[in-house]
Amino acid sequence: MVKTGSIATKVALVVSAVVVAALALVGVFALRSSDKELVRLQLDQASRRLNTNLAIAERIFEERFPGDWRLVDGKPVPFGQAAPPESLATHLFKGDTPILSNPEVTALLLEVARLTGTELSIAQRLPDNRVLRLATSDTGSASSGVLTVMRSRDPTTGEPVAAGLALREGEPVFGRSTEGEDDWTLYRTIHAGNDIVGVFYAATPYGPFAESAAAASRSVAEGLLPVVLMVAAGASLLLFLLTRGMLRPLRAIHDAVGRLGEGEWPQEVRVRSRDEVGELARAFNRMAADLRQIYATIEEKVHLRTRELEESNAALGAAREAADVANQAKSRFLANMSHELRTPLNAIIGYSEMLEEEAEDREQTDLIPDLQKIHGAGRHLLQLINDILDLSKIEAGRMDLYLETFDVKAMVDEVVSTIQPLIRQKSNTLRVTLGDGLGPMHADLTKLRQALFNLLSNASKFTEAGTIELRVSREPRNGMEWIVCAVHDSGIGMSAEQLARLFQPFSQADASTTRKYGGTGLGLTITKRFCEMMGGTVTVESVPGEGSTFTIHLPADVQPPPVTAEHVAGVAGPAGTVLVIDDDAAMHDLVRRTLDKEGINVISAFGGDEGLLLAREAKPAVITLDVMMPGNDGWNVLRSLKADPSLSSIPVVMLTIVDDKNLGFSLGASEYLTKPVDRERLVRVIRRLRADGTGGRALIVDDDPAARERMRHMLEQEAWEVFEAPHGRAGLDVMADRLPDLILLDLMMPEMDGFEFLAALHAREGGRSVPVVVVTGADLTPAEREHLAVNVAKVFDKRHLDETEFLTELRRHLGAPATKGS
Amino acid sequence: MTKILLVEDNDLNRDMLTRRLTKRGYEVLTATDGEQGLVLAQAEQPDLVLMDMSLPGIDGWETTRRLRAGAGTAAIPVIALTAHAMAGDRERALEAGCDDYDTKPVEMDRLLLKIESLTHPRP
Repeated sequence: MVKTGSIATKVALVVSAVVVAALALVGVFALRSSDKELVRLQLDQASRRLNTNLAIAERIFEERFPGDWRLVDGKPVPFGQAAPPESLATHLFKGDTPILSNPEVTALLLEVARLTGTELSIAQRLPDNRVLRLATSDTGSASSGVLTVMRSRDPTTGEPVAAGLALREGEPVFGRSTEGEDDWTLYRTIHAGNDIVGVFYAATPYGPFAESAAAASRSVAEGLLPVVLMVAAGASLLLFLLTRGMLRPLRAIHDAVGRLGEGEWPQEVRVRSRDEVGELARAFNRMAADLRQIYATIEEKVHLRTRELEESNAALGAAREAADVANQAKSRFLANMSHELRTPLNAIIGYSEMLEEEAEDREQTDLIPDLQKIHGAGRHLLQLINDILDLSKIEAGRMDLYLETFDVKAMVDEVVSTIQPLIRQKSNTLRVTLGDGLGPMHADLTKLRQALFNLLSNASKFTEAGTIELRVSREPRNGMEWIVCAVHDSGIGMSAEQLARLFQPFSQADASTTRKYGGTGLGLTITKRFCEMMGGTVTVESVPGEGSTFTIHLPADVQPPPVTAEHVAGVAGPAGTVLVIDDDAAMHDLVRRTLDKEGINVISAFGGDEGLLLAREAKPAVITLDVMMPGNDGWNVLRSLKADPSLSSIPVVMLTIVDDKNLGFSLGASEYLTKPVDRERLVRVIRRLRADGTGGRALIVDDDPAARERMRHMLEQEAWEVFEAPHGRAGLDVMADRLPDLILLDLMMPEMDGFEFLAALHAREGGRSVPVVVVTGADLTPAEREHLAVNVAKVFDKRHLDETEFLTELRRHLGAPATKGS
Repeated sequence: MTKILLVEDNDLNRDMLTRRLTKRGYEVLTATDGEQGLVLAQAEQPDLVLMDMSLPGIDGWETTRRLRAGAGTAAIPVIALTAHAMAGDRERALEAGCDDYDTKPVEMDRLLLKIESLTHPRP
């Protein structure tokens, strides 16, 4: 803050010092220049006198020689001393009276001069602005006489100039004749039409003025000093007041700027002065008004955008909740439906079996085939329902492993005996080859049995009167023992395209297959998932027309999902550990298996108190929290977590069947997921929260700078770190060292287009796991479309890009490289 | 004659199983829920109980636990019948104290084998 008062004082002090010094100098100077000052005073008096005399002379001259002034061509008269002498070709006349060499004119001038005591002359103006004297009362001096070129001095500079240039009506001319002394001259111009053709002038010698002034000025100078001091003091006071007055509006402006900076919109600064400060105040007022206008506009826009965002967020939230509710409803429906369907099916299957028996007993064998059909159809329907239920349970993450140790050979025998009727139905032969030392196996017996049964029944389904081979062996690989079951058939086989779709739910090799061979199309999907749950794989090789081989690889000792492994130790895991607090062991199992795949370490607590203890010990990156737990429930735990300064910053994800998001968020939860858990969503949420809300690294490959800029803007708003490349090759360079987490790709680009870029990306290790979102303005051929459908996450049309949809897609990948195909 | 108590709430299933077992020479008592099952088991002392697991009121698992806990019924073998041919049901049934487990719809031959092995264990 500037103290304006002090500035006024300083200014006044400085100024008064300067003024005193200046006036002292002026005083000294004035002693010298006072002469000139006095001369001027006397000259003024002289000028008035000359002017009066000139007026009198003019009037007399007018009466004596009436008529207009005019120039008349005549005999040239030489003048001037320069050789060759210049000559005057035109002559000034008043009426019919020539001026030059006219005794009457000279006599009149002399008479008037004597009456007034003033020397009078008439001069003609030459075309080059020189002034030539034609008649004069001055007859006695050295410079007397006519045809004399008069001189003049510039009134401000004192420099000699052509007299004609200095001609201004009524103004004195400080000049002299060509040879004479300085005169003080007053003139009146003579006009012919609009032209100044000459002057009528009165002059008085300059010399006497200078002499009389010199003496008087000294006495004036002696009385000057006290005046100088008084003037200095007065000036200082005046300046002080002036400065303060000047600074007051400045201070008003300063304060207004301050208020403006603090976001107030002050009234305009009231400064009425018309000086620079006033101008500044008015400029400031204009600026403030403009700012207010701009601010109001921006505020309105921000307000509007915020409301739009809130609305779309609310819509998204509602949609998400609706989806959650729908998902739960679906799960409940499936569970209920499977039960409700199975009960009548039991009756159908049971009664048809009973009737078969009855028919046999009563020897009504003609009924038996039909009853068998009813029975078979019932069994098939039951299988369908079981498969759908299994798959929905797997998808919902509610399929659990029950590990037990069993004899591999016994298991195989059991499966073979179960499958035999099916094999025989299609006139196939089953050949079983068991390797040496199969021994026991620790796995989920039911699931392995089902997997093997599925493969065998599949093989039989697509083979007629052929051979189905089951080879089971125990093989070491990667330092582990594996049980390998290979099912080979001599059936119809599959093409590469069919193989690619094979493990997708509900997709048999082609649609007609279902009609011809029956089945749900779920068997292989379920088989694959079961094996994966146990840490194994299912692979397939096939040659169309020659048959297929499906091979299951399972660890001989399947490791249980480590539900309770570390929670007792409670050691801090590596950075980014997730703490699961839930009393349901199955939940720990599910979360652990889900996050394990993402390489995220999980520690478990089975109650609220234990959870708080572990949270303090392990400082996890994220906590998932159940609500309904015995003892210290989730709400209490959440309160305690948020009340503890060392824990309050850890994001908490509520993971519960209780749907009370408001309470959760009001207590400080970061996310609220309801059971059954959407695993993909859980992963995304955890990844996002672990990453502390920052997005991943995104690469934009597009040759259009405007498009890049637009996408960069959107991405940066979502906290992504953005890299750009103008074409595919540059894109490859950018990600030479490290793959980004997301790529936004244009297709039509110079140098290397999007398709080539994709191919190069996928050729790189890990390149396929980078989600690619294509943003293109190109019209795609069906072939291109299909190619993209399998190779990129999503295709957006640049020409009508739905921003909401686009952002949703980006968010889907936010911090979580998409796991494709799941 | 081997006496079997069938606890099953579904009329069709109960009728069907009763008839098929009766036909094969068993004496079949029926109960439509867990509580009735417990009373009958105590009163009739069957040789074996076939227990549907999804019963109204107290379910099959709970009924089995109570049978095991009752002095007069603790030794009666129980075969659990569930509609859910899911991994885990078997384990849950065994945990609750069932001696064996089968899925509905029953395969008669397999069920008969299980009944026989529990009612006439080979020495």
